[in-house]
Amino acid sequence: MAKEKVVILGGGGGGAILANLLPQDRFEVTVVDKSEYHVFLPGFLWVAFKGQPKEKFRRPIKSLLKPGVNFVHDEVVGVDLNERTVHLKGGGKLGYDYVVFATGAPLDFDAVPGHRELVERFGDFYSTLENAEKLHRTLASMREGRFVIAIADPIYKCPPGPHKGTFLSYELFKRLGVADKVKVVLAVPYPHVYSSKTIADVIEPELEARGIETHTFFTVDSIDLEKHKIYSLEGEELDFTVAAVVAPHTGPQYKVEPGNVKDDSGYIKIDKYTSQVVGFDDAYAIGDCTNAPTSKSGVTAHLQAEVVAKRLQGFDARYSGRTNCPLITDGKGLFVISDYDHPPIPVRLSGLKRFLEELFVATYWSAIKYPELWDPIFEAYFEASAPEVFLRYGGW
Amino acid sequence: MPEKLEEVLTGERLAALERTLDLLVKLDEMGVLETVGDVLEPDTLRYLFKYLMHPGLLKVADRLDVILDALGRVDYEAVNKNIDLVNKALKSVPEEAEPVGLGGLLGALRDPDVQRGLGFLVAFLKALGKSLAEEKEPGKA
Ligand SMILES: Cc1cc2nc3c(=O)[nH]c(=O)nc-3n(C[C@H](O)[C@H](O)[C@H](O)COP(=O)(O)OP(=O)(O)OC[C@H]3O[C@@H](n4cnc5c(N)ncnc54)[C@H](O)[C@@H]3O)c2cc1C
Repeated sequence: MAKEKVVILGGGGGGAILANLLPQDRFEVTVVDKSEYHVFLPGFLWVAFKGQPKEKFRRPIKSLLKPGVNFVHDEVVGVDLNERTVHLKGGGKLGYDYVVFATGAPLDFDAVPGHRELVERFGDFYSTLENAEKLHRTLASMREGRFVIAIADPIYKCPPGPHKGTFLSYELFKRLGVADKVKVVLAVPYPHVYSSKTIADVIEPELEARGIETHTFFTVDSIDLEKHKIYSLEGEELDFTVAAVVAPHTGPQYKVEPGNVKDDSGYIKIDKYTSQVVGFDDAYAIGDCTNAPTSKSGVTAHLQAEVVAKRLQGFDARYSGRTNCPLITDGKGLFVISDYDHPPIPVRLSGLKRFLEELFVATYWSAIKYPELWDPIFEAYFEASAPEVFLRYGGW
Repeated sequence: MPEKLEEVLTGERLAALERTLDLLVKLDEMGVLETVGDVLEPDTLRYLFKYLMHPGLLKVADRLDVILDALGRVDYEAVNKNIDLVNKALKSVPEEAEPVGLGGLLGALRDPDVQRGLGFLVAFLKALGKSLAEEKEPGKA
């Protein structure tokens, strides 16, 4: 029997795992990525706030893929779902039996006036390893003033990311001996310090205990680098010495035919359980590029990759919407655990969860390369810690 | 990438390699290598982790600091002395105990077993009350 051709667009968190999960005796797998490197995005935090070397968080995509998986280093410029064709910037075309969108959510630095200049000046911890490195240099040279972390759109990768940045920057300033002179400020678009009140109630006292200034209902609208001010849609303003603003995210920038498979924000419309692109049984989308109503997270991308790998092999598998986003302070951590049917469950900050987060980071490359080793572990973990299970135990 | 074996095998690495090889021979002679190879199957791992990752265990592991703190302060001699007593009493409680009103209570008080149990409870209550008072105002009780 001829092998079925699977073309995976993007070799990031979702794409690389899916490629390694597909049995090669049945499928001919090709990964297309415009970058030669796979970047571990949570590593931005470790570079920006802990000064770790950026090389630790990037590996050649080819080195992560199983032998036998084809890698095409080119940019996708168009996908025609009716013609079953992927168009590449280099002029090439790829035909397929199945296509999987996994190109992530690029950031839009032109949506907020003044944002591009801000990032060029200070760096940030959401876009690139180079910008994370720049932010580290900026923060390490701060002796006084206000470091502001703010958000331009409530839909962004890893909802606790800005909060992690807040706690880790405080820790950095403490290590540098300037925590009493540099004020850390966190401004969020929601009514509480975190979008879920359950989680907000846990972290609010921690923020307070560190003297971190917080602002709610603050959605960044524009930035004035000369006046050192951020203005919000809600009509407020914040002074900063240094600021890092999470940029609005977008769906795939390349053309997809038919155009109506993208939603108003440009994300690929999928069935939230099966990851199938609406209207096409030979197209799937996973990870940050979809409109699934759950957090944009590596865990989502990973679990959706497993669902698609199973479905392509003819098994029934569904993604529950499960999230497990970590939120860490200097010594403790928690996971925001939710799914399509349950808002975040009550959790406490603990040393175990802080350790688990460090373990997840340390074993990331191994998890991408050897899913057959890690899947039984993850499967058992996600089953034991499912929201409906933990709710019977009063949370975690 | 180094081309020649001599470039890869620096003195330090050679020494480490020799020790590793000796260890491997030992593990092989004892059958450990073969056994580990046999056990490392996806299904064995799946069942192992399914068993280990019990929500109760995750919860206990998360609170290990709190639990160890409490366990460290338990008076094990006192527990050891009374544990059989408590076990026996718990085991002999009927599945469904009869409801007891005031009249029934007076009747039950004539039973010498109930009298002994009550004596124990009263002594326990007295000690509990004493330590409650001490917690409120240290040194007073
Ligand atoms: C600061 C930060 C912290 C985070 N922390 C966590 C965390 O702790 N836990 C967690 O679960 N998640 C976390 N996340 C989110 C997580 O990293 C993402 O959700 C995850 O990487 C999504 O995977 P993906 O495969 O959808 O996209 P990506 O990993 O972004 O991969 C997309 C790939 O597609 C390629 N690509 C894009 N466009 C094209 C094109 N046109 N042609 C060819 N290739 C293209 C890119 O080069 C890239 O390699 C964090 C994110 C950030 C920014």
